[in-house]
Amino acid sequence: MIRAAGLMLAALLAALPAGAGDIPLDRAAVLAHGPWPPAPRPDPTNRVAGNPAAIELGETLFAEPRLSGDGDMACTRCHEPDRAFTDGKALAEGRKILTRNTPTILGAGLGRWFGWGGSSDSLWAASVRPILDSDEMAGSAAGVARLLRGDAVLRAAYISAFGRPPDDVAPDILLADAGKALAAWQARQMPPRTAFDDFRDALAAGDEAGISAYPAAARRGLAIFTGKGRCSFCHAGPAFTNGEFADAGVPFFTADGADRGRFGGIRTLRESRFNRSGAFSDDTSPEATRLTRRVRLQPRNFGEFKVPSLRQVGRTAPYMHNGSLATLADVVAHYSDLNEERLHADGETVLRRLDLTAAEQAVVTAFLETL
Amino acid sequence: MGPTGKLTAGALAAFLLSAGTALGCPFGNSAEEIRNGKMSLYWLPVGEIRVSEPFDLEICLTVGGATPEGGMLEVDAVMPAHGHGMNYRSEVQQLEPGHFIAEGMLFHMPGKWEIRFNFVRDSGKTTFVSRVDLQ
Repeated sequence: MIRAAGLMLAALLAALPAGAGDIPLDRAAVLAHGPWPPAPRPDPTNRVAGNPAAIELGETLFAEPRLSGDGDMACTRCHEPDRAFTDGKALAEGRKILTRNTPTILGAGLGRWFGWGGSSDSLWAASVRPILDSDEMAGSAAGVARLLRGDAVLRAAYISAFGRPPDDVAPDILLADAGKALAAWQARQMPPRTAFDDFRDALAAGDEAGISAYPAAARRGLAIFTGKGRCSFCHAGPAFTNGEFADAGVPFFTADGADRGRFGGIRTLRESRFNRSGAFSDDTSPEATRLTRRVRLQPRNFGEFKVPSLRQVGRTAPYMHNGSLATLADVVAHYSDLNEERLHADGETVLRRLDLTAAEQAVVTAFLETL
Repeated sequence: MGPTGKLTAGALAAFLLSAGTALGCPFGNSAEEIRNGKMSLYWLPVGEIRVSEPFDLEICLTVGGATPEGGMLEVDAVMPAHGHGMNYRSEVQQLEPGHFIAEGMLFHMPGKWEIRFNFVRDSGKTTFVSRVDLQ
């Protein structure tokens, strides 16, 4: 009897007191979205991760157009620093209009899969990919080698980061090293703390003043997000992503056919010589490669795309893998009016039409803008 | 990703019995026990189960209280309410007869998961199911 009463009390306390018109918040669900920032995720496959000299080299290379084949396209062409490392365009523009939206690199160091289809299993491999892609930077290992060997500043920075001159290092290895330096820097680009984090921490500490400082609309939106919206199933944890892939009911057809999403990503990953199990990885132990070896290729992966982090989401419009939704309000409306017939027949049954009122959609948008 | 959840309740299945220690199984009282006929399966996570983080399970099997001879164990998990399983295949290694470790489990969503253990022998397959609610 005493235990039962205790459980009832705990259940009552788990729902936060709500003001007039407010929806009760699930305290545990809110706390699960923090604390922020989390500890860095180590990458044993990149021996220069966290190395200050490599971070400095990576920052330089990120803005270096000579990594591209024609010397005219740096990473910053699409990942613009003053746009939260996106480009503001629906579809990225490389040598031609591509088929996917440019994702931000903010928080990328926390992930385990990279790109909308997860075709890379490390941030350094994900950094090598666009350098080689003929539709993007159209560079080459030989070109990267010439750059690192021939430019006095970059050569010195390479020696400082990797402890050896680039002259006798094979071009493919220098390309992977450039990716590792780029990854070392990108992993440091973390989304800042926001009003949501202050609220979450105040909630954890029982700080009533801090709790009250969070806008009421955002709080109501958070209640929908973690409640009937069921958003936290995929947008889980401090980064607001479970790091996996989902079919969000967004068409995957492109001008040239279809984007296979995660299905194509897994196939590309397995064929890549730059994956964690390959010769360029600094740790091919079973522990470092286990997710790469054990990832399942399933029919439902066709048309699944990465669940993006929602940190700084107010700064990364347009949205979805193909940039088809212009604003956050459009994204919320998409899930509210979800066309369930578009979902993969073998896919998750998490998503369902939410039928949110206009006011509910507005507060969810207000919440997202506090991230 | 930092800690996002933990195993808050296990053994919700009707056939899941109280924790215990089997003769020949090297677990303490924290292990979950599932019975199927004369067989008992005990499992416990290595460390804490967190949303979207890899984890391993240590598993012990007994038949009538004794260590089984031979057999192969398969471990998988599904979210019945969501119509999906894990995105990864676990790998089961036998540490010694009747004692296994399932590596590379990953629950990529909070909610109710069902862990399915299949013990396969020449005489047939014995299935054990355990439910966990991950917050």
